[in-house]
Amino acid sequence: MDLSILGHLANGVDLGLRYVALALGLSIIFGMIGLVNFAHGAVYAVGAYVAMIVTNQLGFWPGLIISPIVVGLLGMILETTILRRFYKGIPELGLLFTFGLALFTEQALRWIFGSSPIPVQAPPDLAGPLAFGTFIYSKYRFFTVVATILVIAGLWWFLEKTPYGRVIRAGSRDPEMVRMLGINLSPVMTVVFGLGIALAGFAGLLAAPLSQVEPAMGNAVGTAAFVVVVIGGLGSFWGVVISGIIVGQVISLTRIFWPQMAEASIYFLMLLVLLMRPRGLFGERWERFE
Amino acid sequence: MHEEKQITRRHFLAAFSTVAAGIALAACAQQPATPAATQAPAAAKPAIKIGHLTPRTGFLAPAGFYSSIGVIVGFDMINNAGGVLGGRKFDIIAEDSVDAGTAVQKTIKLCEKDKVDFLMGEINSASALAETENAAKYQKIFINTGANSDQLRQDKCNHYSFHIESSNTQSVKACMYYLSKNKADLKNYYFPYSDYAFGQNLYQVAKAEAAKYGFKEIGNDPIPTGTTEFSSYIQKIKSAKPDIIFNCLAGTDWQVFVKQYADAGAPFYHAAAQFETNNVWGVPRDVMGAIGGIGAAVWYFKVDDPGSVKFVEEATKKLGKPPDDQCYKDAIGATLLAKAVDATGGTDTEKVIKYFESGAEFDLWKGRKGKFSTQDHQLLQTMYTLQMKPKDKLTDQWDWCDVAYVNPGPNDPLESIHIAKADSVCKL
Repeated sequence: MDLSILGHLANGVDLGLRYVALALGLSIIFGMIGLVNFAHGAVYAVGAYVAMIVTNQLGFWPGLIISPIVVGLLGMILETTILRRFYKGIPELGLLFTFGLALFTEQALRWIFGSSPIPVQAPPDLAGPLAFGTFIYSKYRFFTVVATILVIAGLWWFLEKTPYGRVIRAGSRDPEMVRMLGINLSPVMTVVFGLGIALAGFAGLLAAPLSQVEPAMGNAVGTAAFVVVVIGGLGSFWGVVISGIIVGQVISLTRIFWPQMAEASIYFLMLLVLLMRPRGLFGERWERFE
Repeated sequence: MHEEKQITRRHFLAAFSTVAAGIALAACAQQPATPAATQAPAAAKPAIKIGHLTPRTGFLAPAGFYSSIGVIVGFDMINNAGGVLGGRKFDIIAEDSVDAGTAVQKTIKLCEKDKVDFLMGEINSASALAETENAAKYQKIFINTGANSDQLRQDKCNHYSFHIESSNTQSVKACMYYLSKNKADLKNYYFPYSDYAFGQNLYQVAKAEAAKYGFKEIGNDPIPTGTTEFSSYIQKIKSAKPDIIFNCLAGTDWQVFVKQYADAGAPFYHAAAQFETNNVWGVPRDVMGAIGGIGAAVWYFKVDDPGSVKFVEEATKKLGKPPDDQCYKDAIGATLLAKAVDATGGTDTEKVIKYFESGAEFDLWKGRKGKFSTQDHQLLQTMYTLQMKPKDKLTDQWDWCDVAYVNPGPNDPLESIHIAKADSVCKL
């Protein structure tokens, strides 16, 4: 196989998996809470800033664990104090709130850290290229692929194999029934929101050494994550994973042949998928979302 | 039990589309905080109003930040020394010109509502093209301190616009001359460029100049601004196996590209027409050290000249770190304007233009004096070819470069690195 094509495919997987980390958070929040979190891109930026601070103080490896936890806890506080007030109102209120929150967060980051991008470096252990025979690939990108796969696997195991995960899945499908079984869904919603936010923070952390940490860094990525969720199918775990990888490949390969259209290509893909499958590639009929 | 209202899939898609449109509109209309502008104290003599435009957000924000500080430092130095015309001070009204559309709105506002005497600033060549048209419409002098596209000096030049910032031709000539003398064996060039006015023009200019030295283009990529993922482009470059990557990107794109290029092993020599220190500092020092390479800049904060030393001192007080060359360009623009106002006895547009066109020479704080070209109003000045210090000598927090060459040489005319008279299509 042509090694340059292999390189492009690997880049597509790397990019796609970073979208997946962000989009899975969006998807599980929507699935459980029914909330469209437009602040997800902003949380991605917050994740990068928190990572930058923690990494500067404690180093990259502790930051890898601590940063998503800190961001997740911030999310849980937000859900408990403000967001749950919107659950009983009309859905658009929550949506508008998260939209406002995204704008507020971006400006707050600009106010606190300034608008200039802040350089963040990959740890020395992960700097430079890695050779797989004659195929050479970035060590840090390889790490992000492995780390994201581990997180996806861990999340899948948590949702599918643990009692708490079963409650989340059941609560996503039929919250009334779960409540009637005597299970209080409020703390579950808090955990799910925190988990979704932590995933966004994790994606921001991984992106920091590859790009720049700056207040608006989540805008384009946040939009791409929405596209991934829409293509994959709302609420579908594996739909999001597969869709993310497809989107990564589409962008990566379009950059070779038609660079100007690379960013726009995913919107055409979304349009195409929605025309053929309005619920997305793996979207199922969920009564509560119809 | 309460009944929770649920958002449906159709709601989601509708909301996504609505909010996406909202974001786009908000981006167009956003009015971020105006940077603290220097204020002339209340005095009997009216202040001279300067309308300063620069992108404070978006992919050019890093340069915009330094620009906004540079103009303040420049006019503060003049105001603190007593101002001009026996005590008139300068007052800056600063605006964020995040894109060309916003730049037009802000230029109109500065001219019609604020009634500024002069317009200054800009980084984005697309915005500057719009501003220069409006400057002509309102008959205001526009001092361009950061937009490089040759278009502004060629078919889009006009009577009212003066350019402190180097043209793409000046930057490219400074780079290519050095490369032809020191890296002549590296013949195959690859040009990644920003896909907007600046990058498109820079690519054309660089390609043409490279051809003059017998260098060959083996590939190019127009890259959308605001790109955060360059891996595919870098993979493409690696497949092409050039000798030199001639980086024609701008702002944060430049920085992110360089970071990701280093991450890919930086297999080829790196040169950049724009080697602005705000870009260089935006990349971790070790990463820049690993890449090395050269690039052109209008100024470097280590230039040994009394004017530069004084400016660095003043700007460092404001920034908490040394100024970059964008900061310098706005500050030197302020001093040139102040000198013109003093020399002409007021703010009369035509008198100031005539003064700038008279061949008057200016101390540019870098040894050799400069003057405006009568051909297209470009400031004719020396350019610095900067070279990254070797990795083991990269110990200072800010001083990462050595001045490899000052272009043109002491015996060559300043015009020699600018657009040749025969190639100029400018009609002022």
